[in-house]
Amino acid sequence: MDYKLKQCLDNVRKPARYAGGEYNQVVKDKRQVDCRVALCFPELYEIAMSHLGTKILYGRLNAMEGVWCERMHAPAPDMEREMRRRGLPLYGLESKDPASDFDILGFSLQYELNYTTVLNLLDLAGVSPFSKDRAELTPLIVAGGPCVYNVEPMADFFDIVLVGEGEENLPALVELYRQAKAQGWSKQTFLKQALDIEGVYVPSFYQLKYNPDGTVAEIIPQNGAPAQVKKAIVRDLDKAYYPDSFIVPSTDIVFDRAMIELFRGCRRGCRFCQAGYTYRPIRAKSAETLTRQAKKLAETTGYDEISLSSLSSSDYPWLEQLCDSLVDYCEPRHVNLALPSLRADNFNMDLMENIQKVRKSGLTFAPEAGSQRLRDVINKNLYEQDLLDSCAVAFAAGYNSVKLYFMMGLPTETEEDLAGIAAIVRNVIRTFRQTASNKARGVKINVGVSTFVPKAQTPFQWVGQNSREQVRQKQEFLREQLKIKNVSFSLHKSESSYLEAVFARGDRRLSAVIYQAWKNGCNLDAWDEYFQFEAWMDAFETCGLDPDFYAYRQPGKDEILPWDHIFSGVTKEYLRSEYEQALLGKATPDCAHGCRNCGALALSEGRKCDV
Amino acid sequence: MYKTRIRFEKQGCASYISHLDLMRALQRSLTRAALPVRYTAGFNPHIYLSILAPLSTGYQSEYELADFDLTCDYLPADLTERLNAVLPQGLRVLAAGPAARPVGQIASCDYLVSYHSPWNEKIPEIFQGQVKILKRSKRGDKEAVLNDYIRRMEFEPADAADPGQGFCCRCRLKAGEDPMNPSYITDVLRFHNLVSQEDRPLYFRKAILDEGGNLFF
Repeated sequence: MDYKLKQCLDNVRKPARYAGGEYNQVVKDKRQVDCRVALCFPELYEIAMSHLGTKILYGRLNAMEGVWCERMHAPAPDMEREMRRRGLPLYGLESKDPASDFDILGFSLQYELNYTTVLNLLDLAGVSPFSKDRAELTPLIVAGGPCVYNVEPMADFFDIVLVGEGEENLPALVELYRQAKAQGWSKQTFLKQALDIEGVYVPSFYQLKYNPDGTVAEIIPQNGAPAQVKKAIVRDLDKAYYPDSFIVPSTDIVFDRAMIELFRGCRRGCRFCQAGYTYRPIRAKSAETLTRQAKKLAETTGYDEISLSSLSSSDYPWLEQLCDSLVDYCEPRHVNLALPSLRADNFNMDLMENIQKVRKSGLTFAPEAGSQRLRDVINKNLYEQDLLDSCAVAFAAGYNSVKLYFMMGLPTETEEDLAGIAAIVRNVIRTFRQTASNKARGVKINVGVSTFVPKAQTPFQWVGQNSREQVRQKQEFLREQLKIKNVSFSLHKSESSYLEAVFARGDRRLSAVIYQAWKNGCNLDAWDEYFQFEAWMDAFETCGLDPDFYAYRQPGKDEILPWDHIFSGVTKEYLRSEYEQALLGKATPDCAHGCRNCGALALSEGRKCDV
Repeated sequence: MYKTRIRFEKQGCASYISHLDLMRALQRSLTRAALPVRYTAGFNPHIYLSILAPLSTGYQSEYELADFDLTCDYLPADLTERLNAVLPQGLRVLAAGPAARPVGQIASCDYLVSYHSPWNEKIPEIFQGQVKILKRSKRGDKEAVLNDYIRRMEFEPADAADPGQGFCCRCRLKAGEDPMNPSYITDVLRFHNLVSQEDRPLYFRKAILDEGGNLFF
């Protein structure tokens, strides 16, 4: 190991995060490759290494001959100080080679509050942050991930954004890059050619014109770019690439376990949920494929837990069959099965008992809102009685703690709805007293209340966020209401949710603000201990942009939205009709009760949703 | 049941795996190697594993010891091979055998510490008189005499002709109960300005020994 790196590592907390060498990392002979890619995750190692999408793309790219894909992630402030002090640039964890040796840096955009960290990583890599300042083909700066459904605030920084699922279009882009590099194409030539690949969005090929009131007047595609970029999807998940092995970190991370992906999409249509719309159409893997992938991963990683992930795991059509076959494999091997994202209305206790023979984990339900009226507005389609019934079964089976997630600041919300949250919590406690098999242990309820953030490409993209003052008042109200014995209560910082809202529906003028905020020292904004709200507000002021405009405004029905040129498959008309239903307090039945014609099915070439 | 002891090296990037993380890394490696290992009973069953004489994070070693139990009555001939095929980079099993001797018989460890700071003839003299240190431990700090923990020690320039190439310290320090960490030697040298503040020496454990100075395993 290089002495400079050793000096850094000997001076920082948890150095294993920066050392590489984990089991199953891919090391290639650099003389045998002509394209070096880094998957850059703008978060700390613990978060970065927990991300399933990155694992899939890492495996997929390294399966390509002549391509070597490595990992880069954000250093914690102590490591960053050491790196800058000693002149150590951002490096690939596998080779320890500096970022300047790489052809493509691909960023994963999971969360709006990671944006300044993207700029910080580019800076540590010695790369100019603005796409227009990078005249050469190399390094190519690419992005993907859920934030691409409105990536406009980051538009000035990326050469290419991949919209949708990356298993197929990222390798295609890498292949095109290799051709461009071999034939000495200019960056412009390459970008134009890349338009032929599904889901490729070149932000610099669109010109935005604004009205005097700050709204978008026109989005003008140039250089042959399409009027709308349609997201890429994998049509058959059973045939899609899935890694045989995961890198097994040598230090603790957030989700330190094997993961299999049950299905993509969600039939529920909760109106606040971006993933619920942007991952459509619903495509499930067969129980056979999943069983095979789970066994393979357990063998190659040595993990003692396998998580069955999806947006709503109890909606997987063949869940019982899958669990039966996995339990037979897991139990004798001391491997635990984790089933997150359960719904309270189709929760099956026998199934939980069956899969949790090795170790019992906690129970989490997300009623999201405190009254039936408001749950109908957000289309949660969940009745309080279903929640209480599920709790009753679980308490009778010996569970004595439950986590409940709610949101506040939802459209049409009143004080009555908020008081309903406390009422539900009290009813869960009463249910415990009536049904618990072991009342003496007492019940523990963790209530998490996050602040609603209206997201692009959802029915609530036409809704303004509650003002920060309103949010604070509501938080105070809830704090009083939830002073209940055995109940612990946690909140999100109102300033974080506010910034998240600004960028979730922001336009590309905000690139200047993000750059200025980074200049002001903002980085790792998702962490309360690093979040600097004042520095952010200064940045808005410097750039002459009003954050309230983005967070609070209710766009008009016919307004051009800054992300209208990005198409998730669900039509704007459908989203609008869902918004109007919400205002009427009318729920929409889930997709299992018949197709609602949201538009996403057109992406899947004749297949039907797996519901 | 076969009580097994392995000796392994911990080098390069693996030197940054902390003690707790190393436990987990070895447990997962045993699972990947599909060896028949004993699990603990209870609510949260896990592979029984014990690391003898834990090493500080960042130190390298060619003499690490760990114990675990095999549910079979013999040592599989290919155990070392199977484990080495599935260990993270920098960990490698060098020997395996019965965990015969009790941990209590560990008496000292040999270290090689390499410094980048220039060689100075005064270095060995520092340790000829009594050197008092403040020894940190979980039970609180205490004043101690460093010499009481040193079984043997010698210093040597990396290049006899060029003092600028640095130097190294070979030492045998007390281990087991109330062990001594070679970082105290560095602290003393830093105090006397014989090692620079920026120098991050390489600590390398060469052996774990018993009271008679014989290799423990």
